[in-house]
Amino acid sequence: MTQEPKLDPLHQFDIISLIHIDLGGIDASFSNSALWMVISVAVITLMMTVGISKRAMVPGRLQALSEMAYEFIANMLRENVGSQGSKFFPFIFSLFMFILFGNLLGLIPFSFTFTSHIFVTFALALVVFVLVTFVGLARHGLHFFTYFFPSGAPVAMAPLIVPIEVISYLSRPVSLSIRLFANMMAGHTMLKVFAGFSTLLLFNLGIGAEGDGTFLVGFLAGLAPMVLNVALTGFEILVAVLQAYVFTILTCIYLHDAIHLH
Amino acid sequence: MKNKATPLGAMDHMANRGSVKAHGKRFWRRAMAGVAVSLSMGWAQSAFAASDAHDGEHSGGGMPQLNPDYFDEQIIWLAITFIALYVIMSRFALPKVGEVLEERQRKIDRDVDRANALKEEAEQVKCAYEQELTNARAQAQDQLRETNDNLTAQLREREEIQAVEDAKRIEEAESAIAAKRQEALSHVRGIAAGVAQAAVQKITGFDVTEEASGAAVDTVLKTQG
Repeated sequence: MTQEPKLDPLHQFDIISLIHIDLGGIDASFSNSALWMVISVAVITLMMTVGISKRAMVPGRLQALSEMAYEFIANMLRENVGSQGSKFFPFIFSLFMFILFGNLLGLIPFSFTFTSHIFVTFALALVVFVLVTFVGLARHGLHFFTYFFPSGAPVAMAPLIVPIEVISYLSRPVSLSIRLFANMMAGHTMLKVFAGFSTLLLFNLGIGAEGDGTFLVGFLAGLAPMVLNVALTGFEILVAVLQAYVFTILTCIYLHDAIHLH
Repeated sequence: MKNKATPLGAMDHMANRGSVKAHGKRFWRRAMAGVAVSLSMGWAQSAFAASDAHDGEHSGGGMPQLNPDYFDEQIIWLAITFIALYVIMSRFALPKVGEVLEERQRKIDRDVDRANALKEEAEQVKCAYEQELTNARAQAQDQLRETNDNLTAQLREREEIQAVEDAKRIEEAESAIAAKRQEALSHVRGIAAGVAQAAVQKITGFDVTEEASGAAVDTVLKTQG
C-alpha cells in the first residue's frame, strides 16, 4: 500500500543547510542549527528588553520574568564566585540563557536543538575553560599552578596528586560539554522513539482500515506510547532547565576556583 | 488580563492570597500538562513526517553530531549568535534591568528611611507629650497641696479666733450666772427670813422682828455652810 514509514530517531539531529554561504573555502552555511540559534537570541533579547522597557516600580509579568532571570543569575554568581564575579555577569547570563533557550526551544516539534550537538557544547565549554584559565593566570601569574598541588599535602605525594589534578582540570570542558550534549540527545531520541512507536502502531495495526474496525485498534494502540510521551515531555522540560543550570553553576564554580585558588 | 498596580488591587491580592496560590498551582499544573500533551502530539507528528521525508536525504548511518562536514558552519554561527547575545545583554538589556532593580531598591530604602524618621518623630512627640503630662500632673498635685494647706491654715486661724471668742463668751456667761446666783442667794435670805418670821408667828404667836429672823437665818446659813 503506502510506503512503510521507517523509524529513525536520529534524523532530528541532521543539519540541513538553508542558505549556502562560502567564506573563502570555509563553509559558513546558514543551517537549521544556525536558524534556531538566531531564534534563541531573538527570544532572549525580546524577553529581556520588552518587559523592562516600561520600568514599572511594580513589575508586570514580562518585567518580573526578566527581573527574575537577572536576579537568579546575579545571586548564583554572588553565592558561588563572590563580589569579584560581577565582571563576568553578562557572560554567565548570556551562557545560561543561550543554553536554556536552546534546550527549551528544541522541545518544540519540528524545531532543532543546537545544544544536542557536541561541537556546539564543546565550543561553549572550551570558551569557559579558556576564560577560567586566563582569569586564573591573569590574577595569580605563575602562582596559579599551585592550584594543581593543594597546600598541606605531603610533598612526597606530588607525583601522584599533580597528574590527577591536571587531568581533572583538563577534563572539565570534556565533562561539561558531554553532559549537556548527551542529556539533550538522549532525551530527544527517547521522545522520538516513543513518538515513532505511536505512528508505527497506528500504521501497522490500522492500515487500510477505513471501513473495518482496525483503524480504531491502531489508533488506541498508538495512543499508549503517546501517553508515556506526555510524561517524558514534562521530564524533558525539567532536564532542559536543569542542564542549563548545571552548565552555568559549574562555570561559576570553576571561576571561583580560578579567582580564589581553592 | 492586565494587572494594574493599584493599592486596592494589592489589597485584594493580599486578602485572596491563599486562594490565589491554590489557583496558581492548579493553573500551572494544567498549563504544564497541556504543554506536555501538545508537544508530545507534535513529536508524534514530526516522527511521522521525518520518516516520510527522510528517504534519500540522510547520508546514512551514524550520529549526525559526529559528522565533521558540519563543524565549521555550526561553530561560525555559534560564535556569531553568542557574541551578538553577549553584546546585546551586556550593552543594552542587563544594564537596564539592573537600573530598574537599583531604582526600586533605592526607592524602598528611601521609603524605609522616611518611615524610620517618621517613627522617630512620633516617638519624640509621644515623649514630649508624656513629659508634658507628667509636668501637668505634678503641677496639679502642687496646686492641690497648696490649696489644702491654705484651707487648713485658714481653718486653724478661724478656729483660734472662735476659741478665743468662745472662751470670752463662756466667761461672760459664767460671770452672769454667778451674779444671778448671788442675787438669787441674797433673795433666799430675805425669803427665808420672811418664812421664818411667818412660821414663828404662826406656831408661837410671837411677833419676831424682821432683823431677828434675818439674824437667825444668817446663823443657820453660817453653820450649814
